Amino acid sequence: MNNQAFDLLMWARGPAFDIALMIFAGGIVLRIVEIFVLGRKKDLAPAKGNPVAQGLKTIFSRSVPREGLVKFAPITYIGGYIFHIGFFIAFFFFAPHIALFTDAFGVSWPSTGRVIVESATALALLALIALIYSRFTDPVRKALTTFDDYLVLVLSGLPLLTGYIAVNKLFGDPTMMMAFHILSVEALMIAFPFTKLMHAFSFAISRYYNGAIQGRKGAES
Amino acid sequence: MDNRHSYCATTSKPDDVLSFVATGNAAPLLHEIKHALSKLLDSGVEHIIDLGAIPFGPGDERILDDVLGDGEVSATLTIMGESHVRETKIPGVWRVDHLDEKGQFQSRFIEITFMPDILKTQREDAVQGLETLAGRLDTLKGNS
Amino acid sequence: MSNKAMLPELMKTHGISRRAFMKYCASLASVMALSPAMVPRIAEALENARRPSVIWLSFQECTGCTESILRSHSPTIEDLIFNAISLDYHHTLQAASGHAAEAAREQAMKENYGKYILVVDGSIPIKDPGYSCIAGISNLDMLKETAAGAAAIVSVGTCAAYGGIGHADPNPTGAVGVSEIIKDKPIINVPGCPPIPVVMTGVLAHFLTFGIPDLDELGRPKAFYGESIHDRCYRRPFYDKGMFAENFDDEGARGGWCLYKLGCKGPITKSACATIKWNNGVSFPIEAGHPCLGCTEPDFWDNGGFYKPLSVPAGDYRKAGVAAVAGGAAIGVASALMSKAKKAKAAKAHETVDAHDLEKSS
Repeated sequence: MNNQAFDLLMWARGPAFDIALMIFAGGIVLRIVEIFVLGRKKDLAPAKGNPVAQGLKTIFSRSVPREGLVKFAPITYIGGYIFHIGFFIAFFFFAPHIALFTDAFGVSWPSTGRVIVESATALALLALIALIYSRFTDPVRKALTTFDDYLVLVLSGLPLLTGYIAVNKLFGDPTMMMAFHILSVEALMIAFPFTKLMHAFSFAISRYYNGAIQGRKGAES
Repeated sequence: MDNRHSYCATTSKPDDVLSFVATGNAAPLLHEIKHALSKLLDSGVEHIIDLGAIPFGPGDERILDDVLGDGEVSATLTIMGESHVRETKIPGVWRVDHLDEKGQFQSRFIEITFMPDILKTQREDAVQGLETLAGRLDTLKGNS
Repeated sequence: MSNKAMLPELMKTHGISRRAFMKYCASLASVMALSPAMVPRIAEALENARRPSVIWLSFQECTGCTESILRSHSPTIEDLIFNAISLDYHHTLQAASGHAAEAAREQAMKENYGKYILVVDGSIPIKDPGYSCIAGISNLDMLKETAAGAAAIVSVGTCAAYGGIGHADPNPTGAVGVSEIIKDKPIINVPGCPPIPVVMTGVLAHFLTFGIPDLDELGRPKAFYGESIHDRCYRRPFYDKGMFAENFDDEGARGGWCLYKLGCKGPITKSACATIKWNNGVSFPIEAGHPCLGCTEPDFWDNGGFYKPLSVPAGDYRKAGVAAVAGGAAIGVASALMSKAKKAKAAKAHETVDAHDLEKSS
């Protein structure tokens, strides 16, 4: 007799993970290497400021919204913050996830308790729903949204949702839900290098370039 | 029983680590006993709790012992191994522990009752007793 | 059921009082994981129960299940249950051997045809039935023949229930559990490697008193396999607080913290280990400091490694990861260089134009 849930979980933990990892790791490295090898055109004009310092500063300063923008687009900014921070906590401070990093890289860090992880997950999900809602209701955002954006929103929400269901045993067979959770993460991993999800890595590069260009001109960015 | 949102003692003496491990199930159990006791007083309905069906750590046992304490009655029954029937410091709450012939626990219950059934003479045994007594009287008569 | 001595009569002949019977019923309710309110019904059912014939077949197994049931931690209960059933064939326990033993099986089958309980431990090889034979009869044939006259089958241990260790990859003998072969009889699966002794006796007692218990989708009695070890574990609060043992001799291991990171399969394993426990309720693997292996689940032997946390990939993914990184880097460099070359070529092909040329063309 076979337990379908168990078999699916083992497939998700086995071959499916290997495939997803290869696409994920290979794709990300491909895109980053491509960006660096392409480089930027040499600027022959004499530098009026320090491009490196300004570039490095911009990587961080762009994480803080410009004055007035929070009021202008509250859902985008506040929802965006909550989603990113919540996702970060759920991903990096839940013990089973840390176990994965420990196994892969031998590094470990303290995990946090269930109350924090689950609150972060729930808040991130609510924020995600708000973000999708704003894309549907705001005509400008609606016009700007592509299929790619909706795909990315759904793909980054599913791991949170399935993880929450699996851990709390809300419904369904817990083993099956755990398999769904891992599979949803693998779907995210596969889409990662080819969608806007790539910003998790490329944001630093693009911000640095933008900052450095302005810095060289002696301008603020 | 929901033990998701339970607490646990994390302060532990190095020599007696596990005796502080608790699942947090003692408190809800004590509340169940409280409700059962008030029901017994209101309507006379008895209630039995099987301690074998609840995950309990040594720390929980300690809490249970501390809260219930020892009461006025303690009986030892010798039936296929011993059974200990004790009233706790809370009258109406009894602890019934069944041991096997090797002195190991078979089952443990908390009974909320005025009198645990197992203490009463069972009708079938009394019938048997009557026969035995009659037989002994016959022997007595025959001898005199 | 056969007309052998009923339990209360047996007790009377042994001089066991009604009070002792009530104690027995109370303990039995606890063992069967039934509510104490069921005690009077258990007593009534036991008074009316007949003593059924039991045939116990051992196939590809290690005798661990038999060893376990013999250590049922309540000897009185075990004694009574074994007095309440008639174990007519069990080739490890019976005195007879060879043809005499087989004759006992055939006789028990003939006398109780359609009424006996068949208990099976061990998996059945179907790739080549010759891999495991008893008295020249293949396991497959013996199972089919004996199952035909059984009232119900109890598959004891993970091997009989789901194929177990014999079924583990690459399964050289083609081992399967009973339910893969017998489709027309009620089958109760009592998995575990081995199962908890009182779970086995509890299931038999349930069958004697109330018939076939409520089963889950894997054929296991819900009373014993209804909840995961994780949900019933006394270490669960540590999981919820994020406190984990990282290895077997750190602060967490000594402090009795959660063993998830050491590979505990409690979250996907359904068993009563955390409540009924082992060795007369003394302890169970997690209490002894070892992660749960998940032995009551099908294919537990192939769950990716006993010491690998559930959240960690089961395969050898690192090689794939390194290969992907190397491959990705190579393709990235190649693609960028190609783009650069294309750009340079395009730049070379540019014609220089001045304002006059532009005016001409417009």
